[in-house]
Amino acid sequence: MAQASDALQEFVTNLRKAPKRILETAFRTGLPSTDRARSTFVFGNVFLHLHAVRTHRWSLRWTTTLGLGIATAAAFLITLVTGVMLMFYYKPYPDVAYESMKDIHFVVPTGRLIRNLHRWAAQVMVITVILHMARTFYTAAYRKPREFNWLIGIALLVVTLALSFTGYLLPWDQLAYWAITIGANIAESPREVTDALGLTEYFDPRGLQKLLLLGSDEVGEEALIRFYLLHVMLLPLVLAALLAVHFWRVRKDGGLAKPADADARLAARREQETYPVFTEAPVKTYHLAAIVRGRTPAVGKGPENTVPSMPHLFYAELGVTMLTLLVCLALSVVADAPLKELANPNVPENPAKAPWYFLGVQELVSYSAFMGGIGIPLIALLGLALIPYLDRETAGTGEWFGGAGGWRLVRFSAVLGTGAAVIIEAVAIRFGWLREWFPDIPQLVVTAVNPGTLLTLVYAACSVWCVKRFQSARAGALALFTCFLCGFVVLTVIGTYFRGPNWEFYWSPADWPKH
Amino acid sequence: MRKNKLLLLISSAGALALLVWAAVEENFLREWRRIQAQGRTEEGPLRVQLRQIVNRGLGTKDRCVSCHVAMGPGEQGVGGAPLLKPHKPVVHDPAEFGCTVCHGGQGQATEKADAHGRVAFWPEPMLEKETTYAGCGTCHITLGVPEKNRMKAAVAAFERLDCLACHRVDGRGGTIRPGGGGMEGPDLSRTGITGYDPEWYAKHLAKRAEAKSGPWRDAFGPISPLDLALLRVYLDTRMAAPGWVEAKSVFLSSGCLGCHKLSGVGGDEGPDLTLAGLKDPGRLDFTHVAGKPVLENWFREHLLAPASVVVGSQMPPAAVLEERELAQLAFFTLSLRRRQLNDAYVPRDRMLATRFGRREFARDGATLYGAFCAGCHGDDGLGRRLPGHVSFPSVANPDFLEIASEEFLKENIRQGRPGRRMPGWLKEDGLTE
Repeated sequence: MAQASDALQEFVTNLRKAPKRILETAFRTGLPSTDRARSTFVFGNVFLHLHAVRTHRWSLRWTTTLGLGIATAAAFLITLVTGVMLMFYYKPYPDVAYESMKDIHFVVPTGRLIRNLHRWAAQVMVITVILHMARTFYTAAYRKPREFNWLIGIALLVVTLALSFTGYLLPWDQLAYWAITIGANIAESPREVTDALGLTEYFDPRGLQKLLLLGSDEVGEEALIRFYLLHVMLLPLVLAALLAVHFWRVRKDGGLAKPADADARLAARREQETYPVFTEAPVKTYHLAAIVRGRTPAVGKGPENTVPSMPHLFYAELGVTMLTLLVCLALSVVADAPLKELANPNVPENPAKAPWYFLGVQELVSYSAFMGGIGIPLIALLGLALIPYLDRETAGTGEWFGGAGGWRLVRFSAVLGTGAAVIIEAVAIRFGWLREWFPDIPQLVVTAVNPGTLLTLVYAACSVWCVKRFQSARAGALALFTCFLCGFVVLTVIGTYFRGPNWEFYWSPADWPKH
Repeated sequence: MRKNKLLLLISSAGALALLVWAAVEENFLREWRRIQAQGRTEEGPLRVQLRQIVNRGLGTKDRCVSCHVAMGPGEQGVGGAPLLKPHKPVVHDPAEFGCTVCHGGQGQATEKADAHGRVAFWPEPMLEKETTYAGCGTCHITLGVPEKNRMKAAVAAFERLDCLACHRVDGRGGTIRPGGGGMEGPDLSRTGITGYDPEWYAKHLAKRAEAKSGPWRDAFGPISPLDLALLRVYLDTRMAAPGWVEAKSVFLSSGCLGCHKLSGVGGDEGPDLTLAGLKDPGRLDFTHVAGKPVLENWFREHLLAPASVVVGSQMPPAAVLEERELAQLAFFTLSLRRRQLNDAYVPRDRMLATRFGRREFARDGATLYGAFCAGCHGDDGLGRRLPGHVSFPSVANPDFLEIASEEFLKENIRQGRPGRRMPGWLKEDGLTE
């Protein structure tokens, strides 16, 4: 009798303790309370072990990174989740796609919010990826041993833009249809050169574009399903894979870049609140799996100025992620994503504009399709990719505007870059360009001599001058990057606000001619 | 780390607040929910849910009934708010046809401005109340309509001959049999669609001969052949939309078909008018248009001064000057919205017009002249002299008519005048002698 009631009592006790025990058993080593336990927690968790077990305190400062990398990843996560939700209702067939967008907006519960969130998070992602690239450049965080990670980052930039571009077509409204028509025409612009050189019968860029990009002679159902596949499956997989490598390389290259005197500078600051460094003496060395050529968690050297990733790094990451979510949510609640009329191949939008991040390119394309659409972007990407291999200096790594020249050079290049772009554009807008002065001029001359190439030459000249003046490749890189960034901003602003029907210059949309 | 914890806390709180706000706004503050919350049926308060009328044949999903609940299928008993009035009795049951096929607007929308289509980027705003009957033109084509004077005479004949004593037309007239058994005579509002007995006159006379007293003796009498012809015109054009048919007769007196095509019949100088009423007002220039920026006002201005709204237009201004006729022309053009229809929904009149070659206009000379020629040669035939246009010659000048042989006139009509604006009509399929 006594045994039965004991067993019953035990049963009830177990039931009451079950919730807490469920939480404890989820973690094989229990909730971590010592540093060693925290290390094992990160190391042994399938989702978390991409992180290093310990993080340098310098890396956790807000001014080191401004949280831009995590913000980009967070924006991607938001687009991923909202994108999957949208896939339940979106139908990737012309006209039906537009109807499904209307249904999502008006009828699907939370459809309006989710769609807005998806669009805004995508815009935020493009902006933060550009800012993240700028931050990485200006802190010279691409230097040895992080050169390859910089290249992965360039690849991520391209994939991000491709994701945004493929997604732009999916609503199948006038905005989408004509923006993608512009994009596809830019893709076939090498025709300008092959035609002028007479090479088209051997290499037909238009044929290739139609075959690969559109799957048809015009933008239609083939292009839509193709872009849909790229947007929801192929590109996200590629992005995820590249992201994994990108994060992995951060860790394996020794964490985020920091200045050589980071430890000294940190000592000068007040101790932040951290958990105690060790609460028990280390009883074993790290596993063999942690030993990689050269850049391992230092064995035998105390972990000064590093803190356990759990919880310090995770709070930082979570904070930035939540902030990104807050910004995206605020935008979504306040502003609707655009949806114009149903796509009508017989009624072109005038002006037909590419998505905003391509408007600078479109501005250049208005002068020369090949140079603006393919030539200069490729030169820019190539230049970006080569930066870590041309700048092999070590001075100023991890410092904002570090290296020869510094902030003053950046300021000077910004002024020069903006000024040159504005002046060349002003000349082209006010006086026209070669074709207006000499109507019979051969196409190749216009391809070679146009505002885009001129601007590139000016920037290159400035950069070379800086290299010589400061006797440093870094100075040249600082000048060139800043010039290009400012030029990009100026061209994008002109393309967005000052170009109207027929790509004519207007000071404001109120001046646009009516039909 | 404390700063990061604080950042996490504040951002999470903010994100949570925004999500809660979004949830509240969607589930409690939407206008259609608030309207339905006021609704009452016999059983109690109305159940608040999204409502729609789906018609796969017409390809519509009309959510108008989320606000206009009483117009939905089976919901006529709902009341409690000014918006919850049932639809007026109409021929086409809204429960089957939906709303947008007649009224226009954006059926899929659930917000008022979007649903009424009076927003940017929706090309088909809802028809204003005054022009609601323009929606009939989506599916219907009235056949055998004469020019306006003959139309007026037909209407006058029907009224004068006191047919309304027994018959009801468009809600007017008719008497109920004193002994029970319904109306004295059938409702004639839609004889243009349903057709009518061609022997009606003989049968009426026979009934009159039999009758000793009552309405047959008093109200009915012999009718002259001229009046009979007019009555035939009247009955052939009854579509339960009188304003629309009268507007068409004005259209067929203004010579529009001389330059414009309508469902394949007409001239080539101007654009096809078959879908004119579906023009997207968002793409039109309203700087010279008086009144609200709606399509019928644009049409009105176009008729008065074509070049002011369409750059480079060669169209002469409409010959009508009366304000009412101008409004009727604009209204009729608004009704030209003959989009492709699922075969199940093509009415008999449209089938006859588009596939069997029956003419929309009456075949008498006055109507043909009014439909094709009056725009340039004037409604009195004496030509038109307009600034900015080559003079259009008179064809009704008695001296000219005395000299010109019938063959000469016919040849001019067949071949036109090459080098001048007179088009040839021989190539027109079905141009009969």
